[in-house]
Order: sequence, then C-alpha cells, then structure tokens
Amino acid sequence: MNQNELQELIGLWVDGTLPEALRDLVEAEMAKWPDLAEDAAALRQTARELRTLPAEHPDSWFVEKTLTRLLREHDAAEAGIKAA
Amino acid sequence: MPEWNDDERLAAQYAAEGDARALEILYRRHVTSTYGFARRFLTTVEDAEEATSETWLRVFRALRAGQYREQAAFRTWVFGICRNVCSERLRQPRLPTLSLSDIGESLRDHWTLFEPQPAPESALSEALASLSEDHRLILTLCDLQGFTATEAAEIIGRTPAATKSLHLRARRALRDIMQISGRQDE
Repeated sequence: MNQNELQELIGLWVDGTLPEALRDLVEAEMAKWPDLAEDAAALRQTARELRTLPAEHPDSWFVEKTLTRLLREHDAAEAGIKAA
Repeated sequence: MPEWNDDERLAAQYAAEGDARALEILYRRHVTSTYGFARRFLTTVEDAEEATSETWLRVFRALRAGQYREQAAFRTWVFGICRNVCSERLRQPRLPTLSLSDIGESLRDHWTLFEPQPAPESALSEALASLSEDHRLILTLCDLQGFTATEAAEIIGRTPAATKSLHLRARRALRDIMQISGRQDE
C-alpha cells in the first residue's frame, strides 16, 4: 500500500466508513506508526466534534419573506407567458 | 444518473408545468440547509440571509430556463448554486461595518438599558470560521451537510480525489487550530 492509498483509507477510517477487512489493514498499519495513529485519532475526534455543531436555522420571518418574493416572481413569469 | 426521487420529479414538474406548489415544496424542503450552509460558510446572519435569497431566486430562474436536467441530484445542484453565490459574496468589496457589540460599547455609558447580546459561539464554531475559504467550504459540505466526497466534488468543481485530499487537509487544519488553542482533548 503506498502513502496516497493509505491516506485515502485513513480518511475513510476517520469517517468510520471502512469495510471491516480494510479497517483491520489500516489499523495494522497504524499500529506500526504511533505518530500516524495519533494523527488519525485526532482527526476522528475533530470530525466527531464537527458533527455535534448545532444546525443553524433561518428566522421564520425570513423564510416566509423569501418565499413570498419567489412566488411573486413566479406569478410575474406566468403572467408574461399568458400575455405572450 | 441519480435516482429519480421526489425532488427531481418536483423540479421537472415545475420546469414543465410551472406548478407553484412544486416550487414551494422544494423551497421549504431545502431552505434550512442552504441557509445553514451559507451561515457557516459566510459566518454572519445578514450575509447568510442575502445569499440564501439570491440562491433561491437563481434556482427559480434556472428551473424556468430549463437549466436543470437531472444529471445531478436536485440538492447537489442547488448547493452548487448556493456555493457560487456565497463565493461571489465573499469577493464583493465590503464597507466597514459596526457590529452590535461595537455599537454597544459606544452606547453603554450613555444608555444603560441597551445590553448587546452577541450570539454564543462555541470554540469549534470560531475555529471553523477562522479557516481558509476552501477548508471552511469542504468541512461545511461534508461534515455539516453530509455530502459525500463525490457529491461535494460536483458542487465545488474538483475531482473526487482532489476533494478527498482537500477534506483531509481541512480537517487537519481545524484540528491544528483546536490543539494550538488547547480546545480539543488529546
């Protein structure tokens, strides 16, 4: 396994999406290189923390205002088609 | 070819028949995630709202012009538009602005009733906001919005391999900031 392949697999290991056989292979590689294992574990921690960030929600007033504007544009476009 | 799911059917229905209900369903289904993306990518509420409005106007116009052809999943296509709008916004020259806390500082001695309350931000949010545009973009798409590397590649216009590499570098950059500031457990 070359470095690029290993890096790509580490990316999948960080996400927890590696198939079991490949996960064992990557973890065996990491066991040989403590720095690599530490780096990957810290990346996994960062990825997990990122997923805990709360979703940002728009203000309901903004959502309705933007929809009203969209539907006004829609009505104008439809009126243009009928007039033509 | 993406699966023919409900979003794609609705988009085609709107493009073909001009059914306003289809447009409204698509908007309501995706407005929160496009806003959430813009909010993290652009970092301020005002910018996120303007970018979200502009995104949906462009989506509407592109649908009417027949520019959506189901080559991409509808959500991926919308985020491609949103990403372009946000990037354009970042490049616009900006006038210096006063934040609420700046205003609060200047008024505090004179108006004791006015107490500015900035939104609480976590250390992680602040670290994310301090990253480069490319890094913030890929982390927001993949880690916060849940796009795969292949979908994110379509949105940002890179190859899947380059996108995976960018994603890994972005996570490292974020981890480094968190570690330097002592905000992540070792």
